[in-house]
Amino acid sequence: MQLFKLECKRLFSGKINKLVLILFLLSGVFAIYQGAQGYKSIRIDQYKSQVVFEKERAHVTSQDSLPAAGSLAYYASAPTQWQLSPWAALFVGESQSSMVAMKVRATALQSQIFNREIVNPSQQRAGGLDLGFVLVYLLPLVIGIMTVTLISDEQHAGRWRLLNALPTSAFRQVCKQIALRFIVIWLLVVTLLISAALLLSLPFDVLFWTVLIATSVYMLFWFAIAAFIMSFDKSSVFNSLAYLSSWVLFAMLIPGAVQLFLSNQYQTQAPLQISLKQRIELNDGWDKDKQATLDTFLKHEPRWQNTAPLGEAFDWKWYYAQQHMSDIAVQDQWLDYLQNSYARHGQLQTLSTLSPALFFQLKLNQLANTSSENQTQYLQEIADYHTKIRHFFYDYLFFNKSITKEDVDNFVLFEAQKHTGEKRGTQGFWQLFFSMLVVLVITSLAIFRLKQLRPV
Amino acid sequence: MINQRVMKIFNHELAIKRKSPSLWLLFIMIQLLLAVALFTGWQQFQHSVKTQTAAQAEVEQQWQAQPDRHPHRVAHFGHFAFRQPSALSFFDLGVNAWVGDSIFLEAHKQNSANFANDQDGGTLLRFSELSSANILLTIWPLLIIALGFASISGEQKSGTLRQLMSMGVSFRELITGKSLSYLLLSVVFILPVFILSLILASNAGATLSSEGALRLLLLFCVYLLYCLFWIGLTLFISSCVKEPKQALVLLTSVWFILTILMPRILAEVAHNQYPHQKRNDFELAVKLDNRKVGNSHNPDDPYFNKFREDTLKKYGVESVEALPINYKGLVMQEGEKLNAQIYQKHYEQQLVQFAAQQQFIRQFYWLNPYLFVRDFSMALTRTDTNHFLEFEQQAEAHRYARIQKLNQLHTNEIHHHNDRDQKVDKSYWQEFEPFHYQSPTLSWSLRTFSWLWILPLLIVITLFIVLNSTQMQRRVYATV
Repeated sequence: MQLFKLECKRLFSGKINKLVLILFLLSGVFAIYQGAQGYKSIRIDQYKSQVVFEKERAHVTSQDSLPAAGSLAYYASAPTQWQLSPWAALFVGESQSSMVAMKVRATALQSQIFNREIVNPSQQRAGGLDLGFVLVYLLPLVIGIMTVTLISDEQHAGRWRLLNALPTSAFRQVCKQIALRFIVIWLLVVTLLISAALLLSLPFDVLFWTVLIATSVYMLFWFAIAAFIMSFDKSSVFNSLAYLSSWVLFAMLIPGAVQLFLSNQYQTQAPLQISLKQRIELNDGWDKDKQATLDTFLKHEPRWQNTAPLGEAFDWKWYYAQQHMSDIAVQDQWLDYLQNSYARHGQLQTLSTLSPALFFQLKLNQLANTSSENQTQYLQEIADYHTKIRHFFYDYLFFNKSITKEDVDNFVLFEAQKHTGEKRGTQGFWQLFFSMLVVLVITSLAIFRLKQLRPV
Repeated sequence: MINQRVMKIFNHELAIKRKSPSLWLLFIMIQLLLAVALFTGWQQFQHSVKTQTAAQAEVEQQWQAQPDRHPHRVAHFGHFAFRQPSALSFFDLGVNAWVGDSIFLEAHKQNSANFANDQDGGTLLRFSELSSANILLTIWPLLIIALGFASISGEQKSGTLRQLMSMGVSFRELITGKSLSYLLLSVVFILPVFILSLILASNAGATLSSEGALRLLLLFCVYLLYCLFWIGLTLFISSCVKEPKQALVLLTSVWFILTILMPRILAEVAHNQYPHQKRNDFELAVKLDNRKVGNSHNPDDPYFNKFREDTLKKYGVESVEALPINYKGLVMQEGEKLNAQIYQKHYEQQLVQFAAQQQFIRQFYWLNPYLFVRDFSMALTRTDTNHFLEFEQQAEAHRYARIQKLNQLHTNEIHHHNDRDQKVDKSYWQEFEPFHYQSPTLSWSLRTFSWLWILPLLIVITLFIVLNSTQMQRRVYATV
């Protein structure tokens, strides 16, 4: 116990150690506070869209007579929402820079789906500071500063020989010191996570434990790197530089290279091409034979094929038929685009194994449902909902059914799909398991090498 | 000031660094990294120029190939404005990844730029792209630290400082000699990337004007200033701390705070303090204001009733049918005008918030030259937020002119009676000017900086004055 107290005293005696720990804690607190604010604004955005929709709907039904179904459909912008986990406050991913409450109506989907959130690009350029950032990028530096010069410092102070002469081996002494640092940093991380969970009322469920275990494994990895570097028995300066270089490599260079590779590999003009083509189709439709457009439309939507032929006057049903036909014209490109996005995610998944930092960051975003993949899924959900909205109005448009206030009250609303958590759960488990295995291998290698270390 | 002894120290320091194999390794690696970054940046730039030019040509062609159409139909057909990447964006990508490349220009509605290149940004772009500028800004200081963290504390520790002093070398001479050698090394390290940039930029053809060369020269100067800042800071901390290891840890901590932590915290705080509206809120506000002013489709709308009366009075007729022009076209013009004014009002509020966020960050230029160099570099390469917003505004001006021209056609060439079934001749579409983005001039690019560049310069000068001060010398000598 005495020794433990002494070690603690030594750990906290260095000004730099204290400073680094405080900096880490402060950044964590700031990130949590910031994340809570950001998540709140997302929820407000989503909630507000629903309120606005309800108000407009109430306004419509409060009128004496309802407008024609076609006109109603034109103005009925219905809210959708990206189903984020509350963990999105801590691991923001794409959620701050993209639409989380996109509105959609029965006109052509392709001229609505690529809408973008308004962001201050300078803020995005700075990179953002969420708890994910603190855990993935700051934590390793804290570990490095506190650990990587342990042995060389002992050597420098002339204690290393002394320690080796003791009956308990120097190796065990070093292990104790490393363990102490691990526990101190781990306790800080746990404090941050628990206070975040309490502040954001996150449940202490599987997700919480997964994050905690994954973070611990990630910490272990960096401790192993530090131990591995120490085992070369070089000077403090060498150790520090080597550790810092590996941080730069894993945190900055590999993700940067992966980004360059992916944006070269998947250089996609698809959204633009889709928009350009869809616009031409949409507008050329006005110069084409209207009945012919309607007929081809009915081949795609046979449920309404018994509709009456068009008359001379402007008819909403032709309007929506040709809106949909412009979507159909780019359907293949749209599906290609989605497939391409998924392929990109798959590729990223594979490449992320090159850097534990990248891998951990990606996993955290995926846990919080904020990764690009989740965003693509959300886009697909919007597309599905768009179909429901169209079909809702088609009955009134094509069968001349008059729309009643009750019908308006029964308008289909967006329902976020519950993600098939089971499959992801087992997949996540295996990934965690393999990460643990890899980290264990590195750790044992480092320990083995450390054990060989003898004073010169 | 520069005497023989300074030159000796200078030469000696260079000789030591020349002999260090790890430094050679780092040198080669950094050069490779910069070359790769520059090359991919160049590829991206060329690809982007090609696709944007092709796309702009395609939409111009689509516009001109339109058949006889009703002008309002054409107004809904709309047009696109494409953002050409700026000539030096291969050096500094700036905010390019987070902003859209093109804007759809249509009647009644102002769209924002779409189709950005930020997929997986939340995972892959936490440190921005690997552009040459970004490497010089974040990774390069680490190398300066590695070069110089032991320069004074190392001499102190090994006792060579005492020997030097006994030989009559003053601390000032020591600092000057070492600073000069690091400066020379810095120039050698970063010059290749600038020379390559110059070659690439002039290869791009006529785009490299004398202004482009001036921009590159200024870029070089500002990065050199940045190097000087880090050299000064490294020597300063190395002189203040006794142990080289402590100097290294302290320097990397400072590096982390200045280049990684502080920019993020400031950006987030700025956003909290001066929040801009999100897309949904912004569009809702515009919509509600539009509803308030007047609905041109509503026959009982007070605003447009008055407009009708005024128009009738102006032409001295009794009914809109009797007007020599098409009243519906006039209503379109008036509606577009009102709508554009309302949009402009809200858009300007957003601009004010963006500017306030930027202003907030600018307050810290004196404390953290990284911020200044980052923003100055983006301004010089025309890749900062201001340049993007300028593009949005040019596109909006173009949209407004184009739509109003169509509305004039509607007013003058379409008869009021049976308005919807008429068309104007397709030859009219040839009379529209294509969208040309006017690249801002150098003075526009730098207008927000006016005297702000003095602050980081003063910081660097102060650093070196402090290093050369007698107090510093006494401090160091006292610990020998």
